This record gives sequence, structure tokens and C-alpha cells, in this order.
Amino acid sequence: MTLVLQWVALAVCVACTAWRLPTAIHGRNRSLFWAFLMVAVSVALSIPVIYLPVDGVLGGVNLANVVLRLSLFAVFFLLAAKVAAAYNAPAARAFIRGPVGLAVLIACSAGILVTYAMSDLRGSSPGLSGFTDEPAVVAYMWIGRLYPAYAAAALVPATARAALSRRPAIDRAAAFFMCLGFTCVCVTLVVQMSSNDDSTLMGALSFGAVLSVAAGLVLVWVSCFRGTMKE
Amino acid sequence: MTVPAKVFLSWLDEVAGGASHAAVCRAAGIKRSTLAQQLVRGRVTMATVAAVSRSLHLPVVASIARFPQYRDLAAGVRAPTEAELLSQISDMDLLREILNRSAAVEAGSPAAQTMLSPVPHRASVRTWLDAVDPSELRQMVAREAGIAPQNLSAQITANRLTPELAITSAQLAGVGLTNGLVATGFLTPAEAGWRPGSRTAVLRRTTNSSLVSLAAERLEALGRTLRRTEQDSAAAQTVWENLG
Repeated sequence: MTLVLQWVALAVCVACTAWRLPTAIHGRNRSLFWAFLMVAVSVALSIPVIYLPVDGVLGGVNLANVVLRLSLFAVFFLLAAKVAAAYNAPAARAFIRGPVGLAVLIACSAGILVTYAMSDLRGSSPGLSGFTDEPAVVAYMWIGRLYPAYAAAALVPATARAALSRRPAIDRAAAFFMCLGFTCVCVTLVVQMSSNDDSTLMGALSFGAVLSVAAGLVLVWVSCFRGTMKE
Repeated sequence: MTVPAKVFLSWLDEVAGGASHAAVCRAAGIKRSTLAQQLVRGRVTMATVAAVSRSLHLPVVASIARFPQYRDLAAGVRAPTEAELLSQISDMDLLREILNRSAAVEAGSPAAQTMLSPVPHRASVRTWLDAVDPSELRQMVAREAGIAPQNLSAQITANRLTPELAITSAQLAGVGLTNGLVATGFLTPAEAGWRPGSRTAVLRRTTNSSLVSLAAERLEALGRTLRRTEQDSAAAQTVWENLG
């Protein structure tokens, strides 16, 4: 179940990255291209078939998981600011790009590196599932969920407001899917905190979130395309 | 806003004298699949009845009144009030009339007659409801019809109102039952029993002061509508600029 979701999410992300490539070359909203590229990398690294050889190249000490976490942080940092600006939510933007947001980002990134250094992670293990008994790894996983949930939480109100506004149906649907995705990201943190280790639920939430946000952005592009066609 | 298919078919049989459904649809300008679907579901819309009745040159209101639940419709036809007639003159026609009158005063000649554009105009539903409103008409209509008030105001904003709601509104406001159907464009003024030229006549009788106040109200409402549209399109633009 999770594996199917992962592959579907990877395919969608790769397709979106490819779709964004020409626009990115033209210099339009480049950060979206990079965001999708990094989501694709993150999703790919969560799939064992890809994770194991990549981590092997990186020395077999699960450094690939650090790459995954940090690239997810970058995705949320880039995307969140864009979404906040798109839905006219200066408060949300300040939460992410403001001093507090930057402090949270730096603290989480440092936390990832420190907890990684503190733990003994010899032997590739996708999602670090083989090391959950180490306290440093538990902290590492926790921090890995913290920043995405923080950025997503900042965006839930703005996207929810847009979804309930009197915009055209397609724009409301786009905002709704993003809101749903960001809510899922927030829920992953709650699940992580409840230390109820349900990997199926976690997978459904994480990759469901990726798919939902991607669906929202695709709807925005369709709406944008139709809008420019009309003009 | 439908009549039972069985009753519709017996009416059709009576008025169209056994013409095939295909021929009826072609004459009425409705898609065959539309009629077929309505018949399968057992509910035929009032729009279909009106279209068929027009194609057969039958009076639309009388045809609709043949169906039991609309029996009162024909008896409820009443001439529109002056306010209703004025409500069905577009904003721009009102302004044109003001300009004509002002030009006539300056030139000292009789005012040129303003040619009115056909009904319905862009905000005809809202202006009609405002014209007949005894107070809190919208809430009463929503309660009577059992729909959410937001649902009703969404229809009004889109300048739409189902025939059923238009009739209910007229009933509650105590005006001619078919008058709301003119505002929604479901009936032409003539079909609803409005005398030809009655809009022009009432406009001519309107004093300068009432005309100017009416135009001012309309422009105020138009300004609000335009502001909304501009805000909506600015919001869409912001999304497209940042995520498109």
C-alpha cells in the first residue's frame, strides 16, 4: 500500500518537475521547479530500492536520510513562502521567512545534523526503521517532522480561507487540495509525537500530502493556463 | 421546478397531436437527449414546457398553468407596478435618459426618447427583488423554499433565480406571479402580460429627482459589483503570479 503510494508520488513529482522545466528556463517561479525536484529526490530516497544503492554510494551510514530530511526542509522553506504570497497571507509568510521561521529552520537543520552525529547508524536502513530503539534517532525523526509541520501549519489557515472564498471552483479546489496536504503534514507530527509507530498510517499521510499538494499546484497551473488563454 | 413526466406527456399529446418527440424537440430547439433524460427521470423542467409551448405558438403562462401545481399561475398574472417596470430598465438606459433630458433642457427642445435595451439586464433579478421587497423578502423566500440564504444570494449575485423561486418571491411580495419570471428572463414581458411600451411609459413619467436617485442607487450597486470582480481577479492574479 505504502509502496504503491510512494511510486505514484514519485511519478507525479517527476512529471511535475519535467512540466516546470520549460517555465523554469524562462525564469518564471524557478523555486517551484527546485521544490519539485527536491520533493522528487526526497520521495525517491524513501523507496528502499532507490535508497539502498544511493546510501551504499554515500558510505552505508544512512547519510542519504540526512539528504532526504534537509531537502524536505528546503522544499517547505521555498514552497511555503510562495504559497503564503499567493494567498495573500503576510502573517504566514512572516512565520516562514521572518526571524522566527529562520530560527526554527536553522535549529531544526542543526538538530538533524547533531542527532545524526550522535547516533550510530551503520548499515543502510530506509526510513531508519532499524534504529528506532536509539533515543538520538527518535529525536532525529521527531525533528525531521517538526519543521515541515511548522511551515505547513502556517499555511493551513490561508489555504483554508481561499478554499472557502468565492473564487472560481477550480481555484477553490486548488486551495482545498493544498490545505488538505498541509493538514496531513501537521498530522504526521502528531502521530510521531504519540509514538504510535504505525508506518502504514505515516506513509499514507506523508505521501498523501505530497500528492494532495501536487494536485493543488497542478490545478493552479490549469487555472493559470486557462486564464492566460482567455486574455 | 419540474412537472411529472406522465402529466407532461399527456399534455404534449394533447397540444402537439402525436408529433414525434424528435419533431417536438427540433421545433422547440431542445436537445433530444435532454428531453429523453428528463422523461427517464420522471421530471420535466418548466423550461422544456415553455420551449415546447413557444414552438407551438401557445401562450406560455397558460401552458404552464395546465399543470396542477402551477394552476394559480394564470390567475395570478397582474400588471407590474411602476417600481417593477423601472427595475427592469438597465443602469445604462437610466443614465442615457438622464443625459437625454439634460441635453433637452440645454437645447430647449423636447427630450429624445431613450430606446430601452431588451430585458433582462445584467442585474435584473436583484433590482426586481429590491423593487418588490416588502422587507426581509429574501429571508422569507429562503425559508419558504427551504433553501439556505447563501444559496439564494449566490443565485441573485449570478443574476439567476429558478422559476420556482421567482414565483415564490412574487407570491410573498404580493405582486403579479409572472413578473419575477420576466426579471429572470424565463418569460418575455409580453408573455407575462406586460403591455408593450410600459417600461418606456413609466420612465417618461418618472420625475427628474426620482430618476437621478434611482440611477445613483444603481451606480452604487454597480460600483460594489465591480469592486468585487476586481478583487476576485486580483486574488486570482496573485495566485498565478506566485504559483503559476
